[in-house]
Formats: sequence, C-alpha cells, structure tokens
Amino acid sequence: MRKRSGRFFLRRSQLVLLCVLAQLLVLGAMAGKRELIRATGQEVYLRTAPIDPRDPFRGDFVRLEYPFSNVAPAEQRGTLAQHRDQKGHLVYAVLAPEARGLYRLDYLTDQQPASGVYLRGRLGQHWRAGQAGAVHVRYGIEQLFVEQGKGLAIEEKRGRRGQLQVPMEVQVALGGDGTAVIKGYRWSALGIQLEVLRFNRRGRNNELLNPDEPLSPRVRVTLENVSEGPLRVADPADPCAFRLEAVRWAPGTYDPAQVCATAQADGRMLAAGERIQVEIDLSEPRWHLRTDGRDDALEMGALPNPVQFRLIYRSRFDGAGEGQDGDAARWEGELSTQAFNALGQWD
Amino acid sequence: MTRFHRWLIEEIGSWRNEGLISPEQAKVLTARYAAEGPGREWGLLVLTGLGSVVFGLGIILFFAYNWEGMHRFAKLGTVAIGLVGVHGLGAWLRRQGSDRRGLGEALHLLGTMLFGAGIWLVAQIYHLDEHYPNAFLAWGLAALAMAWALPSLAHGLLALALVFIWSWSEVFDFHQPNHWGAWLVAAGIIPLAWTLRSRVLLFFSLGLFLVLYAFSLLKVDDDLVVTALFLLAGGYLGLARAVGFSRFPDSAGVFETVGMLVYLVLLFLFSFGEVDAGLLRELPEGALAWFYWSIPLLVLLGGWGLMLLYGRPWTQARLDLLETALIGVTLLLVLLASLGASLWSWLLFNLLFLAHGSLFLLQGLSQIRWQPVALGCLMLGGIIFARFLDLFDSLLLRALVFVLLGVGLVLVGQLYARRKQREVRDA
Repeated sequence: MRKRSGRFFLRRSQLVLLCVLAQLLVLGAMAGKRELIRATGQEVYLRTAPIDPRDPFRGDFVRLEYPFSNVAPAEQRGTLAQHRDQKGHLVYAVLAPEARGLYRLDYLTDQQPASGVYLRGRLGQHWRAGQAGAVHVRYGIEQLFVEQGKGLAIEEKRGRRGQLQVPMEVQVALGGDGTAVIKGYRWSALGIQLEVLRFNRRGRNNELLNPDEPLSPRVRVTLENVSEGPLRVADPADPCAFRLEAVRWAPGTYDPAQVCATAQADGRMLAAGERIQVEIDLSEPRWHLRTDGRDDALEMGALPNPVQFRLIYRSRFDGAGEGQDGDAARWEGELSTQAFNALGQWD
Repeated sequence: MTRFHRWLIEEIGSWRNEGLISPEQAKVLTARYAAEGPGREWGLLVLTGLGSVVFGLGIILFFAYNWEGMHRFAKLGTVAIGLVGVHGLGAWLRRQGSDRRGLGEALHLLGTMLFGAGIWLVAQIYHLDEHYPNAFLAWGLAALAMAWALPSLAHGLLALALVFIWSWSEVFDFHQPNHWGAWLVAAGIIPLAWTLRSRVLLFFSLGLFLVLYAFSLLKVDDDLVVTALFLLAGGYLGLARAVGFSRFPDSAGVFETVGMLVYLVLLFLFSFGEVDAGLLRELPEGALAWFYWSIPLLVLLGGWGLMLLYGRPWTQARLDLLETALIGVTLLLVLLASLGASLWSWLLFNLLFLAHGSLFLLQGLSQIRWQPVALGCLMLGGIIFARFLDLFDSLLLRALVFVLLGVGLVLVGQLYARRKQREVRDA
C-alpha cells in the first residue's frame, strides 16, 4: 500500500492502536466479568456426580458432572417441556440448600427466577438425555483446570469403578444472572463404595441361568471417613438410611413401595479412616418399587427392562445445627453410589 | 517485486548494454517498474512469521502448564503487558523504515498470537467451559482486523487458518451449520488479498471459500454440494478471463488454478458411469437451500458477464477461445442438467474431459510450456486408466489402448522437446 502522506500513515497507526485496544478489551471483558462474580457472587458448594469412568481424564483438566446435569421430567417447570429438543435453550437450575454450604437441585425452569439461588445453563445433547423426557444441561462449570501432574492425584481420590469414591464438592460463585464461576473445590468427608456380591446371570436370550436364585442383586455398601477427624453419621445399618432411586434418564417412574422416616437421633461415630460396611439384599420387600400402570410392587430384578439405579445414603439427624458433639462433626447430606442394574452391570 | 518485474529490470539492463535503448531511456524504464517497491521478502515473512506463531504457541503451552505458583492476576498481567509491549515494539519498528517493516509485522503477529494465548488463559483461570469454537472466531476476527489495519499478509493467513478451524469445529465437532464462515472469507479476506495484491492469500482464500461453502451446504442440503461447487468453479474460470484487465492482473492465474482444479476433478467424477444425473438433478427445497443454490449461479453469471465485458474472449488466441467455449458448453450442460433437463450422458462428459486434455496438450505444445503438456498427458492417461475396466473387457483391446497411450506420450514428449530446441535456436 502506498503511503500518500504522513497524515495517512498516522491514521493507519491509529487503526492499529484501536485493534490492539480491542484485543485488550476483549480479554479484559472476559476476565472482568468472571472476576466480578468471584468477588461479589454468592458462594455455594455443589457436589459432583459419581464418576463416570467413560469420561477421559486428559491430564490437565478434570471433567465434572453434577447430579443436576441430567434432569428428569418431574423436576422440570415452566415451558421447558416444549423446548426439550432445542439445543442451546436457556434454562435455570433453582437450588435448595443442604448442610455445610451445599446446594442441590430444587427444579429446572426456562423462566428466570425473580429471586433465590439459581444456576444458568443451556440444554445440551447427551446420549442418555431425551430418554423419557430427561434433559441434559451444561452450566459452564463442567471442567476444572489443574496444574499438569496434579490431575492424577485428583483422579485417584475421586476413585474408579468399584472403588471407594469420594465426591468432589466444587466451590462456585454465582452472578446475579446465574452465571457460575468455579473458585475452588474441597472433598466430601465421607466416601462411598458399591460392590455387587450377587446377581442373577442371564443367557443370550435374556433367560435366567439360575431360576431358583433371587432376581435382584445383593450388594455391599462401604462408607469411609476420609477426613482427618471423627464424624457422626446416620447409622447405615438402619434400613431407612438408604433409598433406591432410578437414574434420571430411566424411562418411567419407580417409587419405593415402603417409605420410612430418615432422620435419626444419634447415628454412629466414625473415626478418621474408619469404614462401615452394610450388605443389602435388593430382593427383599423393603426395596420393591411401584412403577407406572401397576398396582403391585416389583423388585428391581423383575422389571421388564434392566433399569439403572443408585443407592442413595442419607444422613439426617433430629434437631438442628452441626457440631453438637463437641469436637465430633455431624455429617449431614447424601451420597450416591455408582449406577447399576439387576444384571450386575455398572455405569 | 514479482519475478516478472525482476526479469524486466534485468532485461532493461541488457537492452541498454546492447544499445537497443539509451541510458536515459533505461533509467526511466527502470524507475517506472522498480517503483513497485522492494516487494515482499518471502524469506523474512515466512521465517519471522513462523517464528512468531511458534513462539506464541509456546506461550500458550506455558500457561497450559497452569503453574499454581503464579497468581491469576500475574498470569493475566503478563499476557496483557506482553501483548501491549510486543504490538508497541512492532509499531515502532514499522516506523523506522522499510528494512524494519518485516520484523515489525512479525512482532504484531506475535502480539496477535498472545491475544489467542490470553483467550485460552482466561478460560483456564476461570475454568470456563464455554463453546470453544467461539475462541477461534474471536481470535480470527482479531487477526483479520489487524490484517486490514496494518495491512499484513501474515495476519491474513492467520485469520484464514483460524476461520477454517472455527468452521470445522462448528460443523464436525458440534454438528452445527456454520453459515458465516464462507461469508467472512468472501467479505473479509478475499478483498484483503485483492488489496494486498497477494496471490498466495488469494489462492488460499478462494480455495477456502469453496470448502466452507460446501461445509455450510452439507448442513442445509447435501444434494446441492456438487452443483454448487461446479458453478462456483465455473464462476472462478470466468473471472480468470476478466481480471486480466483489472488492477490485479496477476490474480488471473490464481482464479484459473483454483477454478480449473475443482472443475476438472468434478468433470472427471462425472465421467464415471456409476455417477448419474441424480448427483445434479436436485432442485433446492426451502428458502435457505434456494439461497445457497442461487449464490453460485450469481457468481457464475457475474464471472462470465465480466469476462464478456472486459475479457473480450473473441480477441483471444484460437486455442484459448476454444478452451473458453468448451468450459462454457460444459457449464451450460451441468446447469441445464441440474434444472432437470435430460442431458446427462457419461459418454458426453468423457468426451469433454478428453477434449480438455487434448486442448491442454495443444496449448502446451503451441506455447512451449511444460505445465499444460504435463496436465494434458495426465488427464488423458487418467481417463484411459479410469475407463480400463468400464469399456474394455478384452485384454487385447486393453493392451492395444495402453500401447497407443504409451506411444502417444512418447510422441508428445518428442514433439515438445523439438519445439523447445527450435525456440532456443531461433532466439
């Protein structure tokens, strides 16, 4: 390009300056928005979902998923049902508080709430969502960058299939519009492990190979205090400490036939590093389920299709407040095992 | 300065030495053509540009290590200061004179690479899990803005690469239609190549426009892709014959190369018996499909209209005119076939392909240029090999064809060599 005059050259350098300023502005806006949320947003803790071993760990960042990453129709409000197939549709996960600063999903809506604690997200596509009207949502907090080499330690602590899994609890700052920014993370004080001890094997044509054996699996659940101090937890030997819950993308509804009160008065103490194990026979009537269109309750092994379930351990105490036992921390909350089905197949 | 200019300056010196022109005339002529400027120093551009890109990638990797010992403000500050510093130094160097402009441009390129590093760094610091193709789009737009502001060929090439990555990610990773990639190239990068008189940038941007147009059409109506590409290639070929009279006459070769490449590949495809009219005979359905179908038609009509207006094909050499006419006939056939006319004949396309191959041979022999001769031989050999199984069941016939082809190629080579020797002798 010919330089016609010095003035022309000055105009070009002003253009270059504008472009450089625009570059700075873009970076500044990206960082500034998140920095403002970090500084002024409400802080919540969100428990991550049990690890799906099929997610690859790439060595310098960790994939995160949450219990509310997949939302069943029963938890959907507003006009969401009409937009289920619309990838990118804006949604809001309204959160309800639990103990220790943790929040769980109350409901999902596509109408921005006027108040309360909520996360902004967008409908995504997931091979599991879409079945039975469940939706998959991405909130922009599905990955955590860590220093190279540190990821392996996180992966070890999170646990693998069949091992003790300790949920990561992500510290998130929420902006006024529901935008979430990850600030950090901590580990749950309690870890959970599921082992399938017995299941009724099927043949090639789905026929029972041992017709005399119970249809439903027998499992062992292990709880371990992975913190550095003692914990008081709801006694897992109490059958009401667990409930069997179908995964969110399971077709149909599966309600427990027997409902029991879940709050305990005393629970039991767990020293640091101590484990408790309970065995649960899912063929017992306590674990039978009511499904759509049936008056009778069925055990999970008798369901027509191999639906995936999780065992949810819930620790609740009568009365309010933590730390009533002096230096022993009361642990209140829920832990989920990995998903499994009557055929002994894990997620 | 192009190779032609350098040759001309050298020739002017020879003419002066041989007394064909006076020293004053030589001085005037040299000043006239040397005024194009020192031209583009490709060595400097490639090496310093590559160095800037690699350095920038190194910065990205450094931050990707995510050193926890460095506070996030320190990381952000490093990138911001680096960005401003490098751009500032680049701007200062560009004002120091023409011998420093290349280095200045390389530093600006480094600054734009730091901008890209900054985007990934912010995403890393705040654990952003946004739609990652947007990062390539923002980066590409920044590169394009700098390409126009400076102006800079290196930034233009960087913008082209980033737009391609953005489009590819949207279409193949997220299975989303990307309607803007091709238009960004058409409206932002091709005009830049024209302004810079850069054949390299024009070549890649014309090619990328075709690729991105095909990407978009895949998601709209994939049955229209072949027709659209053929019409666009035809448009390029028309423009090749028109731009020779524009301010950027060197662009004619680029339009011709890109257009002819796509045109010949598709023509070759049509010569196969397995390919039938269904590939072309598809009218668009829906407004968006009609839009995507009409743009190539407009490019075709515009290109050939400009060719008739400015290219004046009737003044061309006989062989060139024949080639233009042949292309025109082929395009017309394809267009009519796409509109539903029963003109499809794989034999016809074979003959057209053979005719083109023969024309290239004749053009190369007549002008004593090895490139069209080689292309013509390749095309004739290619069509014969392709028809090897289609046409000839008899091994005897196949043997005969191969012998004839071999003899033909040898004869062509001999003829070319003889004409080349005669030209040198006569000169």
